[in-house]
Amino acid sequence: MKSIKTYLKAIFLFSPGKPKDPFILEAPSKDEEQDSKKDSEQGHGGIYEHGAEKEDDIRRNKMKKESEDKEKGDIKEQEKRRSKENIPSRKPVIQPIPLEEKDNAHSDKKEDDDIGDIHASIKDCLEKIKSIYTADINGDFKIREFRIRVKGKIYSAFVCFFDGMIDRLLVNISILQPLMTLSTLPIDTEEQSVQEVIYNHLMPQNQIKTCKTYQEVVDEVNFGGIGIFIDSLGVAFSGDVKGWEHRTVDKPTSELNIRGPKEAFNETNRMNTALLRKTLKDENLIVEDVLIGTRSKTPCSIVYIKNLANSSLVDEVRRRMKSIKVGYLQDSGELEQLLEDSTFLPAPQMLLTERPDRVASYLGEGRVGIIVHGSPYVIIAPVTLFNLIHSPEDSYLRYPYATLLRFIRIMGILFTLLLPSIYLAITNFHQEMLPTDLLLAIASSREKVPFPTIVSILIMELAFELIREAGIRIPGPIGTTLGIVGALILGQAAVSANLVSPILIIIVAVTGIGSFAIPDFSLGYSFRAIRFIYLLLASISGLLGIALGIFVYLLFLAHAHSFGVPFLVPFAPKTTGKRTNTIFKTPLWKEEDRPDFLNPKAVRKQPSISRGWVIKEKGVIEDGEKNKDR
Amino acid sequence: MERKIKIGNFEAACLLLNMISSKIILDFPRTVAEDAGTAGWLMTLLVSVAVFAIFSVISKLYKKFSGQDILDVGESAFGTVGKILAGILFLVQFLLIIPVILRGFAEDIKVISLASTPVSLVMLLFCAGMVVGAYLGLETLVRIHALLVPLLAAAFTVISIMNIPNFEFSRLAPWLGRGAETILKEGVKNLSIYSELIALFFIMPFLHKKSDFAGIGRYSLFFSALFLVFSSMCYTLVYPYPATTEYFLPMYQMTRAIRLGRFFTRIESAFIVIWAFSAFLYLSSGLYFLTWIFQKTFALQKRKPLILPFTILVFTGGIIPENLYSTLQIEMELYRSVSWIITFLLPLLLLGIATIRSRNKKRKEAAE
Repeated sequence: MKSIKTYLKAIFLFSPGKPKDPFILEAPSKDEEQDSKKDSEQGHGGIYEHGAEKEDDIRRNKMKKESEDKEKGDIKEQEKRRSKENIPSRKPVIQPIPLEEKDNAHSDKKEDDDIGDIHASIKDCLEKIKSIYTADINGDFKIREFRIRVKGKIYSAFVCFFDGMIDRLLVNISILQPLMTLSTLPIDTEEQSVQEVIYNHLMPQNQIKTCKTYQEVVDEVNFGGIGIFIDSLGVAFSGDVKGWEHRTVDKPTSELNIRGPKEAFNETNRMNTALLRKTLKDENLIVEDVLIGTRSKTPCSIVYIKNLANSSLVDEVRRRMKSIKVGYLQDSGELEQLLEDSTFLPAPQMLLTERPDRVASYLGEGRVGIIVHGSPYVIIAPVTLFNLIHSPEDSYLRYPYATLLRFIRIMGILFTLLLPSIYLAITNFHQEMLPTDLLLAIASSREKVPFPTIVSILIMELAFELIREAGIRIPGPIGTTLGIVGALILGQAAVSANLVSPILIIIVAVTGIGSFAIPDFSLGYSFRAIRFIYLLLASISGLLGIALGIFVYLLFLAHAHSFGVPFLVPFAPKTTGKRTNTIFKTPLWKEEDRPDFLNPKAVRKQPSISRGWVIKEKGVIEDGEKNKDR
Repeated sequence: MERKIKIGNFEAACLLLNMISSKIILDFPRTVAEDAGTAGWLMTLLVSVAVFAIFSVISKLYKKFSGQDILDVGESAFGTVGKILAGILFLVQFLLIIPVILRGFAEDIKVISLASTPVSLVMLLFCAGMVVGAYLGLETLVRIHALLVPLLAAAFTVISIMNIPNFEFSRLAPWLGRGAETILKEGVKNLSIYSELIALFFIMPFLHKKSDFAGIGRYSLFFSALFLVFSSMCYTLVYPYPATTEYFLPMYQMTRAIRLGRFFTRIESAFIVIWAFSAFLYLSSGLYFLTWIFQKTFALQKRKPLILPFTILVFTGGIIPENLYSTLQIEMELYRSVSWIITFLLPLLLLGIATIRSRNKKRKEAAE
């Protein structure tokens, strides 16, 4: 019997685990997925959806019970069959331990999850909450006990919260004061239960949730909520009374601009979603909440415009996010690494921005945004390489200026990547490319330098990187001073000491300046790192080495995908759509279609003639002024 | 789940265009000048017309086998033995040309600017590029072709335009070069300049629109013919006939002839990057097809483990010739005399027999 059990256990342990906690994100079953889809279509995706939560709980419990019954039934049936057919019991088979079980065995999370249902007795509840939060040690955890009067009876009650995370005034006015004083008011409560009376009449707060388990209450309290326990109910209430200190909406720090809005996201999820809603003003904007991190339970939001974003793209983002199982998630930078298609590709596959207007513009193209609580950077996916070299200001500037700026940026990228290696290749391998005068100038400046060119370049490049890194780490104005002092004095001293040639200083300085022109800081890091590989290749075989480097880099970029979208689209692969707004900036009135490689639900962005005023009479289009020369 | 490879028409055309036209950089203008004298361009034109006609017949026969590569067609014609034999012939063809091209490009780059670098090191650098390309697969390769081939075409056009001041039309005389008979005789052998068209028969199953097979072929043939004819004509226009047969690197010589004022005196080295891109594209596609044909012929499950052994074979094959001259001899005397048979006659034979067999099968089925 024991061997059969072991055998069956080994079989069933491979079956997928059942969802234990509504806040731990498991891949949903088909039915659940459909339901959630419906919910999201209707715009109900919030954590505080009271009705939806209730239905979810019921459905989850039902599913759990059904699967348990099925398991028990299967075991019994097999036992019966074996005894009927006189099959001797098999030797215990040593099965490999499934990865999931192995992970669970080493995890201390399991006991935390299983903290049970809310007790009916207030004493038990109090004991439980005190033990969960180790209330006797935790200085910022507060419990306030009191009594309330409902339907003529007096009940003991208590609230619990973290001091500093809640809005004290809100708790006093919307929770404690009504519970303690309003219960004396004459309310028609004949047909309502005590729980309903409390929920419907005694808590004038906009976000109150009924919780059946301690875990639900704990999750709320951990995130700045309040837990409300009342004797003999068997349920608890949680209220959203967040009131922690946070940064206000500020100017962007890494995406500076002259034209356009100057608001940036901050570290609060809801404030970020509100900024986005304020910018878009679109009822089709969906904010789907997802919690990531088995311990941190970091609230994240998938944002998209439901009648624009491709459903399979949204499904893919949702699938990837829900499959992530990490302990703590602090920032969108971490989430980016967990979501990206290729870890080793030397280019970011998602765009991170701190500007609501930029996110809004990308959502309007049919892309998806991901907001992470605690991070002022919002993830945009999918993106192509060309999106990463665009600046948020491009849309606000007139077409000729924006095009010129894009070319300057591309030039900056080429300088960052190739200038030192081309200098090395020309001076070491292809001297004939230089006009004689220039060649002599370079040769004479290098005459006293004892090192080979590659060593001089590496010394200068590493010194430049060191100054840059130190400049960021050193606080306040000293950082800038160090940058200037380092660049000027070190450069001058290096030339005087004959360690490097003056031309090399110019090359390194232009390379450094070029790297500052890259709008995406992640792409900038990538290029800064890759230029050392080009240097190495150029030192081996000059321009051939550089060509090899470019070829291999392009191969990797052509191979890469961002959420299924090829990274070099619309050029490789060539798509049928117009190449609008990639390298060249197009006039705003000519941006008629959304990028076709995103397969948005509506391809057309604006009509062929978006400036109605150019049509003076039927069939006659005039560009601004009266066109008599026809 | 394995993602299905899909190739767009433009990408496929770019792949073929580079594979056929990359010989312009090596020695094509010189070899046609050697074969047909001043009428090298005329011979190339006639060869292009002939290849166009042959391809039209092949594409008509291929209509019935839409979605199948030439090895599948071989299997339909002669069973598994037919598939294996055809596969081996195609393998031999690729194994003959890729080392030659590898050595050719390495020697060119060495002559142009890496005089003191050993040729084996230059070959190793090319091998590194081709291994990465073959490893990342056909989809990546065709995408990179779509990105770089227009640049290569633009560079070729720029070189030709900048050489216009050096053109002298009297150099085209005598118009029939070494005579009509020689043109026709050498023309047959020179059908091999389009032997890389065979790649189209291998990428057939991966085409996004299989019905555009003939269109892709015609498009790439037209542009290849344009570049080939134009390059041989420009070369003859820039240099007098005796000199055209002397220069080992015709395109390099043409870039050397460019004058851009006092400051930019020697820009030919800048074109190394362009030559290298063309070589990388050709070699990585060639290595991909080598491994793919081997995998398909012998019904192997995986292709990527074959990359390293075939790279070693290609490298070893490339290092065997003593010098650039003997490398070019292999290409001119051995490869060109046989490869047109494998590229055009073998597919015609396979397609013809496969068509007859499928007709007979259908008749039998109808009779039953």
